[in-house]
Amino acid sequence: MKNHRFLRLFALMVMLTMLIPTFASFAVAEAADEEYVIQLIVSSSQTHARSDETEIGKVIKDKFNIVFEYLPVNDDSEKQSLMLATGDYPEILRLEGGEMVQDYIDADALVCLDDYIAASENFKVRYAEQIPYWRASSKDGKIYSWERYVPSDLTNAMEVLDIGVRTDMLEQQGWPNLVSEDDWFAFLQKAMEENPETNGQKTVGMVLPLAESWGPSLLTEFCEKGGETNDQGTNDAVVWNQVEQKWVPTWTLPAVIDSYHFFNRLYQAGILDPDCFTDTYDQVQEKINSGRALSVWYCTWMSTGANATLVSNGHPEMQYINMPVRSNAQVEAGLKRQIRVETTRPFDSYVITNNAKYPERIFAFLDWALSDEGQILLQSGIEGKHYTLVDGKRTPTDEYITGVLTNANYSSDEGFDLASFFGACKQGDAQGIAYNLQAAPVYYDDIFLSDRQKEAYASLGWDNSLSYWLETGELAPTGLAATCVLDPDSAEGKLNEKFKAWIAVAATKLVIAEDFEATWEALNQEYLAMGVDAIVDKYNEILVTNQERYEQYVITTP
Amino acid sequence: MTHGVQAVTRRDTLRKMVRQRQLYLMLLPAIAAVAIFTYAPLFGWWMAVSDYKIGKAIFDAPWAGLKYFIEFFTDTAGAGHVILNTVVMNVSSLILGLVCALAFAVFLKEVRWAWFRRLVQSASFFPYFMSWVIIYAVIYALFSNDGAVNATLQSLGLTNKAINILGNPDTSWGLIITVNVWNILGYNSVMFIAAIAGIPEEQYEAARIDGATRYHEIRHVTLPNLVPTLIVLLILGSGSIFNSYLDQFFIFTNTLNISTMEVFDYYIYRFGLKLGNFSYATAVGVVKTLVSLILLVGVNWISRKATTQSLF
Repeated sequence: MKNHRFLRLFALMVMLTMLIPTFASFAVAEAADEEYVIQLIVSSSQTHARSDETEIGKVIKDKFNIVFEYLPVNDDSEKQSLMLATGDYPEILRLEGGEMVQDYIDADALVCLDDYIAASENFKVRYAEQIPYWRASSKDGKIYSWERYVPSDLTNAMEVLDIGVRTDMLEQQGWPNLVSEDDWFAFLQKAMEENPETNGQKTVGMVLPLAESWGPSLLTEFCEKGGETNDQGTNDAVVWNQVEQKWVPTWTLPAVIDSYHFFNRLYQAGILDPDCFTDTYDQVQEKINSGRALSVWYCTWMSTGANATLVSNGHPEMQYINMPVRSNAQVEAGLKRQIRVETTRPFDSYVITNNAKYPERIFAFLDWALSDEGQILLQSGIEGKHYTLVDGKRTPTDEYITGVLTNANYSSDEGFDLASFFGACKQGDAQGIAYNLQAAPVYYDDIFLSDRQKEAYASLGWDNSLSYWLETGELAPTGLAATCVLDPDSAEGKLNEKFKAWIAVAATKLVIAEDFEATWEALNQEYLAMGVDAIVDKYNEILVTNQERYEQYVITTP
Repeated sequence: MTHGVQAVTRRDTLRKMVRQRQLYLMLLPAIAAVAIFTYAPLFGWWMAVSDYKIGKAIFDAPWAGLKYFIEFFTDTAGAGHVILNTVVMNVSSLILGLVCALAFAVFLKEVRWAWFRRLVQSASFFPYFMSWVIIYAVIYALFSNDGAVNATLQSLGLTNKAINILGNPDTSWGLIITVNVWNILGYNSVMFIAAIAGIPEEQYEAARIDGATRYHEIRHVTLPNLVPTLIVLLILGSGSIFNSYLDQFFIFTNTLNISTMEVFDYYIYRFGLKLGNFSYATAVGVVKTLVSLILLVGVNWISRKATTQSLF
């Protein structure tokens, strides 16, 4: 009897043992099937709280049963270190800069992507150029992050951010071809005198959001308008010399001094918006939307939404176009402009954290998003609704064109921005048409420029909206420059942080100085006392190291 | 014998506690809250003397000694103006805030129309509950270069160029002190109004019999009775001299006025929390707390010596 009881117990155990994997497989199946809501911290405001409220989001949900829920914050970069300290970070996270990514790696907070990448279909192909750079910049040579808006090619992603200017002002002064700082100064001064008010509000000459954490770097931008340098790293003490492939000090660069001097002239003449030091992105956007601002410095992408608002408000004549600017010295020297083509963008890194419930599902979605199919859905939209195929080439529909030209929130409403962190590559498909149809040169001027903008460029005598830069610029792939990251705990890292705090205040002092030369001299004494050369040397040292590491990985990476 | 008396006393105390157990139970949440949110975080001070790495366990961090304290005090460019700004703005806000609230409470007491008194009192209390974002929006609408004040001054021909109050290091102290006094006026005045309500009516009647005018009543009856409240509020406030509203300074500080606007809490946020230098931020926080403690005890001692009034 006892033996029978023992046998029955044994049989039960065997049956249970056989059933456990079955239940487990049910659980796995459930994990793979259940709706997966992923919360995302976003700095820009979305018009929808959840991705599945948009047309594109619905397709993603149908295909992957994944939904993104957005948590908008003003400046997510400020919260990244706090989230790490508390361990309270979401499943997917945007991290700003290689230092922050390294902090998260050091804290074992990130999912290493190497195994996923090895088994991926699209990731390793799409990011073939980037992977060795990412490995070179990581302490252990492993990959924990990917970046938005890479890879990019110049044809489909030519980013020239100079000055957005109101076209009615250009027309008023006979469509002048403005380039030099003197041209702009005279133009804006005259425009201010002749138009003290816009729609009943006081006109402001030039706006820019200096209250943003990245704002002060905008004051140095002449460094990219012509010559050997571009604006890689201008938030720091160094700037990238593209021609000599090395880091040089920002503060003493002649183009940077000219840049500060230009803003000083604008400020003293009352052209620069006196509230620019306290203005954030939203406040600047409001000034452009209302047309109060005659021009916007660098942030010319803001004028896209502003133009739609101006049209809907009955002022199509005020729409903005992008025009070039250079220092007087750069115009005189006639040097080519180093047009930055970003090989990597560590300041826009994305990671899967160890708080992710199903990292494998996130990566599966990421891998698909990087395919042709994924990029077309995320950037071009839905066939038949947002684009049609004409001779095998994607062509924007009337609905899409009207939406973009008349509704500032159209992209967000339709879901185009909902998953841009999953790649959003600035490339073209097999036919060479950019995934983002608005960026495709074949369509851009003909379709996405408004009639007023076309009229403006034609009146200026330009062949197309990029004519000037194509004639005066040359490709400048950033290569290893973006991989150079200071260890925040090192002496140079800490000095760099002090420098950042100092430069924000020093730049402001220079802009408002009544005696520019004397102020620069006084500030230069403070600069010299800080010993910033140590930072420059360290950056160049890291560059050499990363070059060696890159050469190693470019050979070993499959 | 003494031992026996002590035992009886202890037993009595215990009995009393059991008898009043409901009262002690009601006290428990407050004790727990103070223990959890005030005393437990003090363990975090370990970060100030260790090389804490963000995201790692606090007590695993290697010993760093006084490195971060020395760094703060030797970095005169950082520490000097931060201490000055904090002390000037907070001391001025405290003293002016109390004086104005006291005067305001006396004014309200003297107002004959009850409905007007209630209206003014409620209106003055309202700013205390407003978020600093809303307050800044109001201040911006009034004092920005395109704000109502500048527009009025320019339209009246009193100035040709807008006065940049929000981005001027010369006006930032005055701006913050004024805003703080306005913000706290209603709250502080409630304390004084409560104290005034507690003044025995007989004192006023006696003063009137002696021929006192309303001015004399204020000077010889109301104000002397308000001194204890004033001192308690002053002592309590002195312990918070180095505390600032971070959200207020986060909004009001910009690159134009940072030299006169940066205070301890904002400095800790900027160089500590934002940049991930938690050890440094904690060291600065410890300095702030210790100085505040010394101030609290010092002011209490001075008050006891000078006026026989003190908190402890």
